[in-house]
Amino acid sequence: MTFTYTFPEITEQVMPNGMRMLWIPDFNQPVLTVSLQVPFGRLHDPVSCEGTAEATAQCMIKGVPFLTTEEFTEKFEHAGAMLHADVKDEYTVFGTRMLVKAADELVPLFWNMIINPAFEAKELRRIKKEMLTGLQTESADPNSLTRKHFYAELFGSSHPAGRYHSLQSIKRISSEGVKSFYELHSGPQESILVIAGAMDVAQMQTKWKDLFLAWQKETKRSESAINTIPLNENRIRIIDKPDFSQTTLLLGHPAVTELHERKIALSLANYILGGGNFSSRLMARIRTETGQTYGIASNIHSHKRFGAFAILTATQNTQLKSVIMSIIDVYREFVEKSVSETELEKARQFALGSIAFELEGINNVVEKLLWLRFYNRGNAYIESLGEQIAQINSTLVKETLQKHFKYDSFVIIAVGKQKDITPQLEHLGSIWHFHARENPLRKE
Amino acid sequence: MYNDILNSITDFTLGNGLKVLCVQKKDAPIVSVQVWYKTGSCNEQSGIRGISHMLEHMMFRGSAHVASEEHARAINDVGGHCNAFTTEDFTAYVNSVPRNCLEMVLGLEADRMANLTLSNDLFETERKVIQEEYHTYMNNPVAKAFLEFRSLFFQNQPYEISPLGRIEDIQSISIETMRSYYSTWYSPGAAIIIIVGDFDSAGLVIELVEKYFGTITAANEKPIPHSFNSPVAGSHWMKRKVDFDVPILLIGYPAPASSSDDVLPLEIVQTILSQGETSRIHKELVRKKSVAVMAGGINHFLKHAGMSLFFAAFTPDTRCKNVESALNKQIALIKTNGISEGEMQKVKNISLTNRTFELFSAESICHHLGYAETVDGSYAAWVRRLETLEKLQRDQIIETVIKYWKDDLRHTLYLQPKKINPLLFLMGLVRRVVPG
Repeated sequence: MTFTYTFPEITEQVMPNGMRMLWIPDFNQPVLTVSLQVPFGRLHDPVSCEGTAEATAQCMIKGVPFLTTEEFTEKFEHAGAMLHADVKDEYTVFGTRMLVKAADELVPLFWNMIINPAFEAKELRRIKKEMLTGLQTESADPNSLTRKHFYAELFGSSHPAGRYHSLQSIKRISSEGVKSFYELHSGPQESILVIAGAMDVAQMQTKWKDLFLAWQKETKRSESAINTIPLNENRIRIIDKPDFSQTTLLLGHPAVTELHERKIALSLANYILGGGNFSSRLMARIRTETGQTYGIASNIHSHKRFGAFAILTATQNTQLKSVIMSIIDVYREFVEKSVSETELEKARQFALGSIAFELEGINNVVEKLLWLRFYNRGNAYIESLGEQIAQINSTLVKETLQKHFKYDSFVIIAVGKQKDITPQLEHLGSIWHFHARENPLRKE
Repeated sequence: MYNDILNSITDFTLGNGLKVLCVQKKDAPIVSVQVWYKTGSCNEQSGIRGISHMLEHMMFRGSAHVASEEHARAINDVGGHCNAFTTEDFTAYVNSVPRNCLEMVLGLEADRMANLTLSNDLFETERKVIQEEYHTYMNNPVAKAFLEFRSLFFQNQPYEISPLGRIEDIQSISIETMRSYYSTWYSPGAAIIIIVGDFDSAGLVIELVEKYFGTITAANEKPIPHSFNSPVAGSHWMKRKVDFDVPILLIGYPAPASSSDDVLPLEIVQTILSQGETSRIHKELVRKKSVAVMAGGINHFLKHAGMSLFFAAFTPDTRCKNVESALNKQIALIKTNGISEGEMQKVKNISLTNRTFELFSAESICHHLGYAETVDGSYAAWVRRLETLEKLQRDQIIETVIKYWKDDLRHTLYLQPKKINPLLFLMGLVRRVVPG
């Protein structure tokens, strides 16, 4: 399959204050999108104050010292603009999109919010209350429970990925904590600003140069060392939901980092195992052939310094044992016998064909550029993807699976009716039981 | 700009009654193809509740020239994606593929419109899958309670039961019944196909549609949709104890059918009441009175009837009655004091921004055209929405609110947690002692 993709015209510069800036003219719609990626995320939460990154970001978008929160928000909402802070594991994106005619007023306001946020105590109290309520709703959501317990079990409390915010950690977040988190982690040096939309780039660069250069701040961050727990035996957790007739099930293990040389090979392989929807082996066995689930998928979640692999599904309590044994069976055959050249060719075609969808519309282009630059990748990473993928053959995939996917043991998380499902998992190893409202780190 | 796309819609009907809508959009090398059948759960009677959704599943289980699940695999394997969804009024099939795969998708869709296999063995396997989907939904206590609320709201109307259906019907519907339902509703005259994306010309696309769908025979008889009664008069107040830690209040009012001229006025008021942190409900309930943690509303317009829904989530220390009265007061204030010119301008700005973003993706354009054509009566309703908005007067909007959101037609549901979480309780108290 031939693959060609060229990014739209981009003007990229590193400002004297160290901030990377990308300008993308796009005249399809009369709108402007402004996105700033700052280098703090959930993984930077201080120990025992998990949730600080989220609280900091949400507090920032409540405004600036010279306007009340109501006045600040009204400026954006009245103009039909949207303002958001999206806190991910490794970074946070602050964004706004607006009609071009509102840009002269809203872009400077947005920027003031970034470099001089008000951090009002009453807004932090409100945000903490929202976070607590959100946390309460998660105890009824099996997918949320499964994810949190998986990371807690796989990585443990000494690893930032193993720690999630809890009722207690949210309670500990203070105004001072939020301000010092902001001081420590935000600054122009590691931040990336993308402005895209219907604009004359040269004109905008001149108009807003001083504005963006006003962010003068040194950041002295250091990443803490992370340790992982060896996976020598099955580690099983059951989270009790006595009213559930269905069990949500996750099996997983560690995986490679995003920048690992074999990441693309593993992604292609994962399409064949469980990432490829109806084209995947797991979907064929567990749904199409036996009707034991509505959906099953496997994913590799890779970060800069760690990665995790997980298979997720849900099935009737009564057939849990049969489903889990089938999953392990499919997984083992996949690792042992690897993939066929025909399967691999389909995975290649999917990987290349799907790029066009990931880059449809200027918002997707902006998101992809932020992701690339976070990993210090240029546009060539995407533009040369065809060549990279063409080099991956079935021998390389087999070797990669043997080296990086050969696990005899798993972390297994089951959310469901404990009484019914415990006997079906006992043969796999010892089980830790939790109730849904419990902190996933209780085991330690 | 946005008008350019919407002014280029090609509208064509084949001899067998299949309506075709095409929009050329060349900013990405992809094309989205959607087929919408004008049937959903509103055409299901007792005993076959859930059949539309079951048929949606079976549409992926093979047709004369396509093996079971091969439709989805063929799309996935070129990097595209496909899906389907069943609602009260329609069942839609969504495919997005690289531009050079348009013809492949048309072939796949035409084959299952004309020649679905409906094998009994595969039907039995798929019945299990559908039951799994049903239980996934029912494991959510809030969703489960909402289904009960909705049954009461649309009592004795075809919308009484959700598209998910009834579990006893899902377990008993026969393959013969399924075949009959398929032949009644899945014909070219009861469907539309929407194609948006990077193709050479609308003329060529219509030629391709004619090639694949033109030979499908039109149904002999036009299917007869269910009739609708007037909404049940009277108000209801119900409380349910659920395994969910956050108390939730839901209030519903009857709303018009989607094709009504009254829809846009209610949408405007809903935006003023509910959208964003400067909306009236958020400002009053969350920020000023601190009786809710989050609050808002949404209109749910269906082909034959609708529902305007308002909600608030709060902490266990707050009395439900206080939340209810604060929410009702905001609706009453709209009726007595109306809306301001500033609020109208804000709605216009939001609508314009939303429209520009609706046009970023081919799939989104397909969806809006399909929805407007199937449920609102014509795709033109969506295309002309901003012009219609400009012409509306504030008095006209308030008259519409008074007409529909009547106190004696109000339905209220209070979801009370089975257990109270002490920390959430305390946080609520602290919040009130130190007001924001």
